[in-house]
Amino acid sequence: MTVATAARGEERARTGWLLSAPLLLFTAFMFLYPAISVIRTSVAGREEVNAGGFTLSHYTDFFTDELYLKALSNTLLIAVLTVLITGVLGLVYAYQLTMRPGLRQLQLALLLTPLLVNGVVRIFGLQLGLISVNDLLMWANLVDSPLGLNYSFTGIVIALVMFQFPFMAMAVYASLSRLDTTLVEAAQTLGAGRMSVLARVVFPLAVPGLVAGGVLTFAAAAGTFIVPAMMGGGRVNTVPQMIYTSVSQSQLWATASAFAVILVVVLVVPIMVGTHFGNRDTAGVR
Amino acid sequence: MTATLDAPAARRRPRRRERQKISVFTLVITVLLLLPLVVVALAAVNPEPYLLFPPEDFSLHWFSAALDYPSFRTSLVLSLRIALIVVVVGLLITVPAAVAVTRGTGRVRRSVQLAMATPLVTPDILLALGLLIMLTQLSMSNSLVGLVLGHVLVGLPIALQVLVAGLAGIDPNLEHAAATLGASRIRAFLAVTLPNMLPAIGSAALFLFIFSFDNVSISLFLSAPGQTTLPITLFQYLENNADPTVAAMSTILVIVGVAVALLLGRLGGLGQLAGGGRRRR
Amino acid sequence: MATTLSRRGLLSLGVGIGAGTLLAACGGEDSPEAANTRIVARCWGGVWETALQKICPGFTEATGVEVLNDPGSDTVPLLQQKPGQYDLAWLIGNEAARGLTSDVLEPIDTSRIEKWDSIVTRLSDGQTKDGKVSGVPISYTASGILYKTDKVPFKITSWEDLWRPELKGQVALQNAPSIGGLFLIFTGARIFGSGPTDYEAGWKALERLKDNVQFLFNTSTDGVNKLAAGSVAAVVTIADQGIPLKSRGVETVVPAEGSTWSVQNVTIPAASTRKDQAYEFINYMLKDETQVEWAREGKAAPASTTVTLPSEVSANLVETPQIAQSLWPIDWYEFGQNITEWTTRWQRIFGS
Repeated sequence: MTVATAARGEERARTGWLLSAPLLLFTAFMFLYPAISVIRTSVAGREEVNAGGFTLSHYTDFFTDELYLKALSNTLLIAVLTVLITGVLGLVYAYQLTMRPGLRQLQLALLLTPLLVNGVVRIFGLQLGLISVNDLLMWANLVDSPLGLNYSFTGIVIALVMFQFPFMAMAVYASLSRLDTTLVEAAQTLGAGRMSVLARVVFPLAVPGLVAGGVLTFAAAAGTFIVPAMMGGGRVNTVPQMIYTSVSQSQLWATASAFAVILVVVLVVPIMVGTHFGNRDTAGVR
Repeated sequence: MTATLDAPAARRRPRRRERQKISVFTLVITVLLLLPLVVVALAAVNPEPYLLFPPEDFSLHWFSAALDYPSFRTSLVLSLRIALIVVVVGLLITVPAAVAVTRGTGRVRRSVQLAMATPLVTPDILLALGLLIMLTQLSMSNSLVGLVLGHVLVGLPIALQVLVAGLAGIDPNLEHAAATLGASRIRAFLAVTLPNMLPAIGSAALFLFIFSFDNVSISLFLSAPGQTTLPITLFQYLENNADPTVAAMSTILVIVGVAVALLLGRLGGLGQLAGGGRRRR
Repeated sequence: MATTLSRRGLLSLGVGIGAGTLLAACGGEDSPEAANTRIVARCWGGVWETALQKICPGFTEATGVEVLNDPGSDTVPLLQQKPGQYDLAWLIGNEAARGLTSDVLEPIDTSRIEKWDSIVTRLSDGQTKDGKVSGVPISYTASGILYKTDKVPFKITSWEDLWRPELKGQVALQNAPSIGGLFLIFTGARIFGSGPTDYEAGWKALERLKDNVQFLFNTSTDGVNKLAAGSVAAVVTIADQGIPLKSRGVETVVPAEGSTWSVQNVTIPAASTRKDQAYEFINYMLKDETQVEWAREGKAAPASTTVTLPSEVSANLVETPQIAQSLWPIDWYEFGQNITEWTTRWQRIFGS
């Protein structure tokens, strides 16, 4: 019995490696080289790509300058807020759509529609919309001066939540496909409170989707350049903006690379922790 | 759990009425998410050469301008072509890997997830730069191959996530059962698991398509002269012209996109999107 | 064993299909042929590309050389990393200067430019440093203040007016590292400092301007669109952008004390293998007829002083001969060298 199990386990491992080989090889080929060249450049003595020499000054510059540290904390705060808000909204959305699937096809189609439109165009639409919202509120005498919806921290989070919501909602919705709606209804008829059903039945099922969507949202929110640049109106500095400006106008490849390495390292930690918890749950099912 | 194998149609019928229930919450969210697009579409019908909302007049002038602008047409065709190739290549890589992640050992899973996490968080512009250096050394920087590979790389994480989430909902015991009944593992997979995976594959394909179709940073560095993709063309136009031609073009894309999505829905694709639709009882 | 084999078979089939699709879809589209009958140009998109599409056929007819225009941004980093790909590149002043100092660009041999002497001297001087020329100016645009007359309670005539307290939270500037906003260092130096290079005074002025700034825009058309929407009262940007907004009560001012400007240069990458054709193209762009066409389509003022614009073209441009005279000198080399440090300082002031 144990021998057979061991043999099966070995075969499973072999098949697993074989099946994941294309992806692992592709990523190794496509990512490792760029990654190594970025890391190498980040400690280069001069600002050119793959230039010789060695210095850690780009790293020390980052960690000794309040401008960059503030940018890093802005980036993380934006990402965390975006994940939390999309997570809550995405969970409710997916649960509601699972329990009340009327017009499901249309709603799912419409959910993905914004993704067809270039981000910059959507931001223009959003900004004009927010201006009209302010005009409307002022006209109705609900506020005295325009709310800081555009060109602020709030604006960045609003835009990121809207942009990332479809991914989060789809991921959670996929996880909830295992939810037995009759079970939920039965539990509710038997007097279980709405909250306890949500907490005990729905939430555990949603965790893998929340984690998957959360990782994507977190990475996208922390890595985006254009959303903070446009929605922040230059008022909120983030690390990707710093990276972009150092490359596009000044060709400071070493500085940009060092900043990128810092950003990646800072982001990978919460992502690995997140997937770790996600794994524990997915691995347990079945 | 095994009940999924028999046709659920009979059971579905009495619940029909309940299935029609529409959630107000999801509708509100849908409308909110669509508002920026509505603004864009309305700004596109204003005849003045700048974006204005709400519009003060009606004209389809910018729509014909968008369709007449030759660069939009050529780059749209190019973008569609690239996106389709990216879908094929991306699925060939991610579907087996997704099976490995859900069915394989912990070590396989961890390696794949690590392999996916890093490109996900690396800022696009530096990923693009690294790829450019590599492809230049391989003298591939002037061909579409580099662009396609770059797009596949950025689309992989989400495609894999969607597939894994979808697969997690499929009972591996079904496959085992089929295998015990004499089918080879591969046949058991093709006959039992793969059909159940189709919805997830569909949505993975959709995401791969969208990620490629909407990518700016990778395309900026990896496209060769004369191979400008649509997002770059739109962005360049927007950077240099204030008029609503880009808004009109975006509106056209949305209309076509929704039409295609609804058509797919008719054909039975979209309702099962996001995986597991088949298993919903 | 049989299962492993078929699994492997499936895998190789998959890889085969993938590679096949790739080859089928990408084949035959490789790099432009090496023939000297075609040059590859990096240009800007939108109006510029449209203008080039109208102009280039004439060039091909006259010289037999085709031009492949490749629109996109971030040209200097691209030229640096993809040597040999482009035969000419359209660059603004500081990019051209930076390209030359980093050896990405070839110094222009002005003896090969037939109309070099007829170029507005402010423009050609700006690209020249120690006798080396980074690019050939083809056209330029003056910076100006665009403002909504119903939202600004006074008539704006001078750059100094931007600092008036009535404009609190009502001004939009272009974000750094784009030059449209950084220009205000020069402006501040001239107005509040001891002279054109008193940059410290310029920075002090920017710090004081912060209260008036509502937002900084990264897409150059974003400013005018918000002006049209009425959410901002005054925008500092390319003055010509204001002309279509006149019907919405937008006044365009290029102050009489002078102004900063942006220039559209053609440059030649050092790694280009078709430099002769590139020079031919530059000479073609400076011809009077081409300059008129370029001004009409690109909505930018011609760099050549020998051109007389027809009234329907000049109606779309604010750059009168008087304004050409009042342009402030700009040393693009100095600007290019300072831009990194200036951008960081700018982000410290406006960002949080």
